[in-house]
Amino acid sequence: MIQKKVCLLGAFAVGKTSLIKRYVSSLYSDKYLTTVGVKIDKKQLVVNDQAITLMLWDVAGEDDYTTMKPTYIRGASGCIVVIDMTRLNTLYTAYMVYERIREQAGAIPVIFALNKCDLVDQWALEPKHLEQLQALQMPIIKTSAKEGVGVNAMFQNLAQLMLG
Amino acid sequence: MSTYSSAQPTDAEKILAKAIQPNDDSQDLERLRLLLLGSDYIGLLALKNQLQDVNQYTARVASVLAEAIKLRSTENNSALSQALLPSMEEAIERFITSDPQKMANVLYPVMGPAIRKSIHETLNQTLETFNQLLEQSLSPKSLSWRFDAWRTGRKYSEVVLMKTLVYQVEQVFLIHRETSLLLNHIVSEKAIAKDPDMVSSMLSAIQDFMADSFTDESSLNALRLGDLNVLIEQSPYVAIAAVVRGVAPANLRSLLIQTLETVHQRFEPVLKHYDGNSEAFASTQPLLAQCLQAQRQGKNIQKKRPWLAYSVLGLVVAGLSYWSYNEYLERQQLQAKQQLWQQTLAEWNALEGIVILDHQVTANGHVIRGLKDPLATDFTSTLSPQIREQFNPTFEWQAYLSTEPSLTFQRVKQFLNPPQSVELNLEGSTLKVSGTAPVEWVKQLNGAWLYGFGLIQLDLSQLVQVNAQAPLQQMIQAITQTTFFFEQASPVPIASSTEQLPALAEQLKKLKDLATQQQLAVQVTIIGGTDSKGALEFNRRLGLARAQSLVDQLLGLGVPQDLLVAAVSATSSSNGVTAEDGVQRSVTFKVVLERVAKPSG
Repeated sequence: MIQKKVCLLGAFAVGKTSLIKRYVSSLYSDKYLTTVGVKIDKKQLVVNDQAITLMLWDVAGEDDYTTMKPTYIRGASGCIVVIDMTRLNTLYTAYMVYERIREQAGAIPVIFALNKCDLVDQWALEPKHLEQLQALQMPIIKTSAKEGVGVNAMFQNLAQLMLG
Repeated sequence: MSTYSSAQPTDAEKILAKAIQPNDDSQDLERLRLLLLGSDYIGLLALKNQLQDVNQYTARVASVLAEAIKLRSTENNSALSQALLPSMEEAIERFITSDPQKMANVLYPVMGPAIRKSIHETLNQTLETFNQLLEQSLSPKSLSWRFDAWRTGRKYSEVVLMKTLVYQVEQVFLIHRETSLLLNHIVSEKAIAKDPDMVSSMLSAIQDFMADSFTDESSLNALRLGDLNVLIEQSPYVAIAAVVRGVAPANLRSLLIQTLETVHQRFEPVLKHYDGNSEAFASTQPLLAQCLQAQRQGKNIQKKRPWLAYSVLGLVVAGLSYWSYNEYLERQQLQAKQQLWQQTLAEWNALEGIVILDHQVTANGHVIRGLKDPLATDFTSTLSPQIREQFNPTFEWQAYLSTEPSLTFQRVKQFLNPPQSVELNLEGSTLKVSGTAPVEWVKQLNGAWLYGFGLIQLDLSQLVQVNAQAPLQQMIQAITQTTFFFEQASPVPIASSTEQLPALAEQLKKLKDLATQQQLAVQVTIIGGTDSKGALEFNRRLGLARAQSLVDQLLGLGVPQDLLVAAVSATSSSNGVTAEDGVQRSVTFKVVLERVAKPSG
């Protein structure tokens, strides 16, 4: 059994917690996010006939008033950076977070999740923004926590990248 | 120089030979070295050669290997065994895989004792657990704990733990520091562990949180919640966390540090390049298990005999013995009853005129079915109270005619109703009739004879047939009707009786003549009787004296002597005669006629 530490990062209220809520086994309540700044969940997958356990660190979102604790990223084998498609500034936060990841954890696999993709009429991200993001050459997956779109694929994809 | 040349003759001589060649320009430097350092240089070269040549070096090390290991193992630390452990493990694993039978043979002598010891230990442990359970559920102490639990609203198990335990290490986590992933986890028997993967990560997160929030320099090494403590120790790559209930002793932390060091020492390369695969750390299980320590309160530390368990077991054994003894007694009683029943049935079956066909047990008692001859003894009215009480038998009889000799004889006698002067005897299947019988009766006997009685032959050779109208018969009747009476205790007949004497004497003489004429032998028995008063012996003598006195008087009157025989009748009160004593104080006469055997030829 292989275990991997995975961090879910992104701006405040982009839907990190919602993304994983229905797909993982939980031991701790959401209040840890606001108190300790992190909540840990577990997701078990099978990739290429190999069982893998993802320890998901749901790290409290970053905004103007809160700073993400970089130590939580240390030791991670992969990261999911969540962007809210209806709020442009979450994309900028994502860039900052991405840089933080590279500082703290080096060249680990990162996936960008474009969340709330179901709210098509409220999209604030334009094609040019997406092109900029693609320039980072990291996988981008559209997800919807509300409708359960792309979440499993996202975890599966990341697990595959981490196993090389 | 000779020493080196003898040790390494080829190399040393070669070098020396080269060095002293004056015309070789390229070896100038070498020559210079040789001249400056002399024989030391040759020695150094030989040593260098030894180190470079694999075979030589191996041989050199081999010669001191055993001593080196011995020296290292005497130094009081476990570094050598820890260094050898992975190789040893691998070697043993290979050995077992390649030839399991050999390993089985090697282990055979130790397996038996080990298994026995293990079973013994397990039994002991079970007994102790049982005892503990009893103590916890039955003793006054446990009742007071239950009361405490009820009063404070806590769980009973919590109260017990609180009251009995000084401390117990419930879980030990081995955590990879960088990734916060769980390398191994161990939990004590009675503790409950929630998802250790997540707990491990969360512990690390909290540590990071503390470090970020308050200080960067030192790390969190203890958490406390109520009586639950988490002790944490860290090394560069790995952290160990022990969840302790109660007050942890100081040496527990040293043990954790020691364990951490050992893990670090053994797994450093794996830890450095840890990729999330924790399989290699499965072997840390025994190390972590050492940390699962516990201490109970004073009284319980001393190992005491599980008296409560013994006494409960004793009670159970006593109960079982009592029960089985009772069972045994009941079985014995039942067996005796059955035996008695079989015996009784056999006895009944052996009775003449009774055949038991079958018997059944009903709610009310035993029902016996069988055959019964009307003449058979009615034993059912004289059953013993024991039989009645135990079996309450009821009988269903069917009538039948038995061919048992005694019953046949009884039936024949009843049917033939023979006169008093006739005697019947049954010998095998032959009925013998003897005595004197009237001709009419004999006729009836011959006519009525039925084989239906199961008799085959009739023997009348001893029977004298007489005609009731004939003078002989009339004479016999007259004689037998004569009776002499006596006064009490007197052998002399009363006067009124004596008057009959002359007539009787005449009758007797005539009887003799008539019998002789008919070629019959005749005998008259004079039977003296007494009343039932007085002793038996006295009465016998008195009866005989009365008979003899009459015999004497009759002889005096000319009656032939061979005709008369004096006899005495049964003379005691037990003879069942209910006639008046006056009648018994008498002399009576019995006449017996017999055929005279004709002289042969």
